[in-house]
Amino acid sequence: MRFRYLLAIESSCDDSGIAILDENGIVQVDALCSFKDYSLKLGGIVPEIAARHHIAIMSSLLESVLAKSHFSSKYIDVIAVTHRPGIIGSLLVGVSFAKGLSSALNIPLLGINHIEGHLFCGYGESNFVLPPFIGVIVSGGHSSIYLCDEKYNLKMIGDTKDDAAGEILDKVGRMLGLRYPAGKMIDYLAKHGVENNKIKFPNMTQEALDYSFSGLKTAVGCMLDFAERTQERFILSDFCFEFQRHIMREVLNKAKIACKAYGISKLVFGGGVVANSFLRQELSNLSDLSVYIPLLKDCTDNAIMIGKAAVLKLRTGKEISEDFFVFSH
Amino acid sequence: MNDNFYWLVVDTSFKESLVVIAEGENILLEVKVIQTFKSSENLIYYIKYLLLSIDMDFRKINGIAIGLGPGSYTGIRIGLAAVKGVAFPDRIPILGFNSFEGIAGNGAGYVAVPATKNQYYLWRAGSQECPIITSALPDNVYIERVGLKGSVIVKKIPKIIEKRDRYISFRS
Ligand SMILES: Nc1ncnc2c1ncn2[C@@H]1O[C@H](COP(=O)(O)OP(=O)(O)O)[C@@H](O)[C@H]1O
Repeated sequence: MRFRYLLAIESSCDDSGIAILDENGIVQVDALCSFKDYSLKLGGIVPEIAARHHIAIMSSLLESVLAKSHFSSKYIDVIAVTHRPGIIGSLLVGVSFAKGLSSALNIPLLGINHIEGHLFCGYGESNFVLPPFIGVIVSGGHSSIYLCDEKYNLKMIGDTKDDAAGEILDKVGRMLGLRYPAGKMIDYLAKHGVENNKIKFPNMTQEALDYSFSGLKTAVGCMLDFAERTQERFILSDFCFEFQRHIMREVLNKAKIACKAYGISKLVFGGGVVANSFLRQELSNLSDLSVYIPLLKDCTDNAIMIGKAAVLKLRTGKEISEDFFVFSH
Repeated sequence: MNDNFYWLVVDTSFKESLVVIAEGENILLEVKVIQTFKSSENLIYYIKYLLLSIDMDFRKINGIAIGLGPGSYTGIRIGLAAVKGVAFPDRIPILGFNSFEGIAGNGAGYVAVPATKNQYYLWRAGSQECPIITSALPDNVYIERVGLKGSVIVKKIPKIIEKRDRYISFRS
């Protein structure tokens, strides 16, 4: 399908994003409105509140994007919107808005999987990794491994059995008395910490490609309990250092196992946890694999990546349908 | 101007969504759509076909009225987000109304909407208070039945349209 400009809408969690891209996936303009501050105050995402924010902001966000770029909505030839996975209430707002807008403008609408967005967000840039590759998503809601074939089809080959990597950072952060979302703070504290072999965590499951972090959470809980009872002290930054290293090594380990299992030497990372400096460092040290990690600013959810995935889909002639629904998974 | 002012009225607060298309005070089309879990997501396409059936499209609509409940949060959000999308390109003004007031229309004393377990959300027309949950219904209630069997169609839109002048002035 040929088009001039594509409008991308993202509302899967607590960030509303809108972007306009051209046929080559080059970003013309984008805007992101995050409700993270609210979530922060509330100690987590409250779905009802997030959904209300999306609905309140959507029109003005689009208005601001058009004003900034001096575009009119008549330049838009196709719309793409995230329809899965995410919080149902939030997804419904973006999808309903997009369905209304595309109906009024009489242009096609494309439902995009958020995961595809994370893995294809480098599309149109010179360092984009061509498939086949192994994709790893580590965020507050996901820890999964995908195989992307030559035709850009994704197949999930590993998932988390319980908590996601970001979720475990946030939960353990809360045990340590850090504010939600704790991932960034743990990262910061860990930079000031050093190796401490008194702090030990259990080894995680070795089977298959699935992650499992909940045992680690329990272990940390027990450790903290024990430390309190025995008045044992440890330095918080050392604890963060060890804990972060433990999780990130696990994340990396499974990714490497996947590459080996499928004989693939290309690795693409995506999701909020990729902002972690230790993980980024470790990834850049991998010499036998070619790795793509998003820029720091692109780690959180945004509409640009949804737009890029959509452009890629249209380029490769993937079947598109307007008749799609939202899904939480 | 009255004759050519086209309204789209949508209310997705209850299980039966309501779609009305009116020209001035004349109702051109009034349809109730029984919503299933997923079909509400495609309501806007359905409305598009309804408009087509009377030779209209979204661009001819001059004003949109949308029911804001009380009712299903998810339903209201789907309806509201969809009409915001529809309204965007031509900046069609959107007007929210109380869904119970919409049902009451002219002259109803009370409005009752079935809740669970033979109970009703009961609202006295014109009152500023929220609906109450009750199983005892006063006389003269309009019953908004949910479900296919024995659906009672209640005329409900006139009230919204009655207030038309106020809303048109808001547009200019
Ligand atoms: N520097 C960092 N190091 C580790 N984790 C981080 C860092 N920055 C953010 N995170 C984590 O990333 C997650 C948020 O990522 P995001 O992609 O927004 O997730 P989702 O949208 O699935 O909630 C949070 O769990 C947060 O703790």
